[in-house]
Amino acid sequence: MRKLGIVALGAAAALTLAGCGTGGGGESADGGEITVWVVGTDTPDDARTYLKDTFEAENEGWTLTVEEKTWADVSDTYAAALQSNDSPDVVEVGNTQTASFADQGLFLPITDLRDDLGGDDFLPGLEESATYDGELYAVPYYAGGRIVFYSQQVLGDTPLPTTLDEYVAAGKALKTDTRSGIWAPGRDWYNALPYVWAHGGFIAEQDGDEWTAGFSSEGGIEGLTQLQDVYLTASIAAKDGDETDPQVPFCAGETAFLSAPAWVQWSITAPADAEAPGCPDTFGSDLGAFPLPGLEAGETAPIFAGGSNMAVATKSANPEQAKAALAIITSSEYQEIMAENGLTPGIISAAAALPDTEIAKAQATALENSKVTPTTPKWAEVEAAQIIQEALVKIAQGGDVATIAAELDAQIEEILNG
Amino acid sequence: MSATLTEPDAAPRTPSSRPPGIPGTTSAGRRRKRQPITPWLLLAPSIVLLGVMVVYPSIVMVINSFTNLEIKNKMLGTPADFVGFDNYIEVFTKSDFPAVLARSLGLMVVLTALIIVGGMLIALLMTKLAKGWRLLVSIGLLLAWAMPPLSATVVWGWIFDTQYGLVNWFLNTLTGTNDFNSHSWLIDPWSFMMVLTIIIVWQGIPFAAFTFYAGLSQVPDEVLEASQLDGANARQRFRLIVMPYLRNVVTAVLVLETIWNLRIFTQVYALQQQGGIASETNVLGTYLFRQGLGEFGVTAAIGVFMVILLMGISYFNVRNTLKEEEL
Repeated sequence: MRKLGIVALGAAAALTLAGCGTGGGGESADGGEITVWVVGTDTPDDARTYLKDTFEAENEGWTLTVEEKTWADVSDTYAAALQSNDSPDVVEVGNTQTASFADQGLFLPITDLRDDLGGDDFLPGLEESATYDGELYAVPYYAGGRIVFYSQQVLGDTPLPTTLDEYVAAGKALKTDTRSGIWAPGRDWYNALPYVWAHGGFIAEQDGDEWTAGFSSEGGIEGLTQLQDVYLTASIAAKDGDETDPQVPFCAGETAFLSAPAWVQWSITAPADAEAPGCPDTFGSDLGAFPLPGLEAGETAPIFAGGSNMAVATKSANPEQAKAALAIITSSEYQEIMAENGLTPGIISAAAALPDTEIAKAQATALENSKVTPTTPKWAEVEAAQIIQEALVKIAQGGDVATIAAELDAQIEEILNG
Repeated sequence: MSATLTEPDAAPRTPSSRPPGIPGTTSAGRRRKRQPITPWLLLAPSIVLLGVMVVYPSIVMVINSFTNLEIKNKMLGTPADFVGFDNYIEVFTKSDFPAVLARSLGLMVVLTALIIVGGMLIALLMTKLAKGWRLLVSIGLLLAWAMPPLSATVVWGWIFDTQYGLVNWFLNTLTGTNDFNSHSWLIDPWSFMMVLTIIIVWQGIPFAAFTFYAGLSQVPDEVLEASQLDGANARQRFRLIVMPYLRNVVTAVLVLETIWNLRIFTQVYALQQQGGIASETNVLGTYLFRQGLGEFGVTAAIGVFMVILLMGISYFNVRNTLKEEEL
């Protein structure tokens, strides 16, 4: 009986200790493994293969693994992983979130590497988002703008709109019981911002140390009122839906206009038998796009400048190799692969490789007039709290715009000034 | 006093199908004198595991709830400051906290009641079924029980999808109209809770049903027959014969379900990803999770509060049954 007890104790000890044995693989100087996290499907397979092959050729004995995360992970999952001893080495992070992660000490400052990485060629907007407290914490990865996709098969004789009002009017005219004129799910806040910005509204502006939110400013209310009109009379998208998989309604012919990131073109034209099927033979066959028009003819509406940066984790077990991977990511060859796939590259010189298509031109034009979210580490908290999405859902349901906007502004100010 | 309280307290935590009324011949007094080492050695694995998985994290959580710990502290190696009860005050004065608490408790009551009643009805049904049908029901229950909650929630979410959901299509077909085109089941908090209740009850019933069924099979047929001869009808037999035999089992399931239903997380979180307004549908678990990134102090304070709440509820339940048993 006593022997049995000792065996049991031993088993428990083994179980407990086994937990400590894993993780932290490959720390020897002449070989090992590093992990790169990319977010979403945007990074083309060619680029992933190029990164892996080049890194492994340049660093003998080392292997590089690219793991794909989702945008939903880039908050708590990231924070948990980046502070653990089993941290990934290089991670992609949204431009609006970089400052917050840097503020928490999760990224390694790489200011001293800037010149080696060709920093003068960095896309200025993204570099600014990766700079916090005078230090560079990440390199620009790629930028992307939202453009309006359409198919002549659905649009018919309707001429392309030249102003925002015409766009909304056309969307309303094209809407039927089973088809949206403008695809506008309620939680898609990136596509809601242009309405606010075009009318002169703003998210939040800093005056001294105080932030003032501007959804309830005069322009903000005008923009949100127009947006409510879109939600209620031009869209059949779910009032609480989000912006993921926009190719599904487009390929089903359920919307005339689809405002989405430019890379969605690849989702739409993906083979019909792919894992995430597109519709290259139906509505994707004559895919066209234009930048969202502004208030006056000839203008574009300001769009949200989406984008990603790449950073080295503070807890990376192999920071030297991680930095080597970063050098490949910022190289012209790598960035040109990104550009060829329609992503605005993180270095300016690679932009020449952008394809010469209507869609690429539309994106370039749209990005000329683009804005970002407030640059403060607290902004990530606003995004994590999802207060903008929830306010928009309420507007999409037909709630009172002025009241909702005022509440939203109060919540944003509480976080930014808190 | 404390010894008599803790000993019987610990006993009914695991579902037991042993009928009540057989008082274990208490040899506790004799055992205590000898202080044998074997029981402790046999208990050691559980104690070590519990210490590592439960006790240590709990202590850390309680300590954290009194500090302003952030990720920054860990990354930069700076100690966190003790802030006394600031975190607790912050949580309890938050305008949305009472609603979250009420929602959690309300859901807990509804879910537990539905699962216990539904589970008991299915268990009774299974005792009446022929072998083949019973097997079929068991397999059906097992499949629901074996499905990971996340997958189950995603599938149910699709069934209730606004655009392409089965339910909307079915209701449209049934009514012959297009009234349910783009009807969102998740946008209204009450409707969200209804979908959530369906998902959790659907997955919760199998455990209750199986446990009750096991308990029902322990009720001696002779007693039931005797009571039937004495003229007791079905309802009386259930209330006066079956239920007393099942009391231990029901208590165990009740306590477990109460705890599980108060700390639901996966289903709520996954459903919020598919639609609805998070701030109007949060329960304690998701509310804790949706606090600011790395605000460990406040989240730990909510966690401590949940632990105290759960312990209170379970203790009350266990005590209550034990008292009845002693009478």
